[in-house]
Amino acid sequence: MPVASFLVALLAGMGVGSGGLFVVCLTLVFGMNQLAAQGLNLYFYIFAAAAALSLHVRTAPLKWKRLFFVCAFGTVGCVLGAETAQTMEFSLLRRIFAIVLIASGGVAFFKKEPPGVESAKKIKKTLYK
Amino acid sequence: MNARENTKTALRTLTPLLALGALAAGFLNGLLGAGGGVILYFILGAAGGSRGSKENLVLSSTAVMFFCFVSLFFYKGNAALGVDAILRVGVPAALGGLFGAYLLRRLPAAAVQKLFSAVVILGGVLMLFR
Repeated sequence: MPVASFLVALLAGMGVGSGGLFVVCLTLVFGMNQLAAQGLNLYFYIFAAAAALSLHVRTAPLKWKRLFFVCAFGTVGCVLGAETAQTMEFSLLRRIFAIVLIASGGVAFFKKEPPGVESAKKIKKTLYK
Repeated sequence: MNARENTKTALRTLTPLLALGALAAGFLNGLLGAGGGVILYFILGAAGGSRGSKENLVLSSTAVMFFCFVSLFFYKGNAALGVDAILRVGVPAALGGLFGAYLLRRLPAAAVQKLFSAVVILGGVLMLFR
């Protein structure tokens, strides 16, 4: 489990999102039930994100007002979501989790780089030709 | 219409979008014990912040970390989250997170993201047909 935790956190730290991959490991490899795996994944994310953010915030400062706004509305969503999860069957929760995982993986796979990044690359190529 | 009025109109349109996005991201985090970051990242990009900026990445990661604390309160009865979990999951996760943030500046992020996305899709398919 420590190796899986380290490897998935490595990806989370690179900013590509852990995508719930740790839950996949916990359920498929370690045979945990869906709710226990999700609980441990929350714990995992707190540690992984805190460590990565300690490095990232040096180059990208936080917009506090916006953060408070997002956290206020997000908290309401969290409470609703967590309460719903507690009343659901494990198999249904697992299916929803799998569908969301496939969708988010698909979005990330076909995501184009923002225009700023593309033009910066073109400029760099032209300059160093 | 001058620039100030334009900004005001944009804010009026984008604030509900950001609120809705935050609500959806929180719901997903609470329901699935993961995620929400991707939604937030895109919504933040649409709601005024520059698309793909590191500021949005930091903001969405910090917000999701906060969501995890809130969701954890509801999950504490389902998972064993003691000292043992800190040693087996927390410490390796913190080390992996630090190393990943360090590697971010040295590896082609787009290629890593493609590879990671493929693994995520495979994981989803395996879970669906388990």
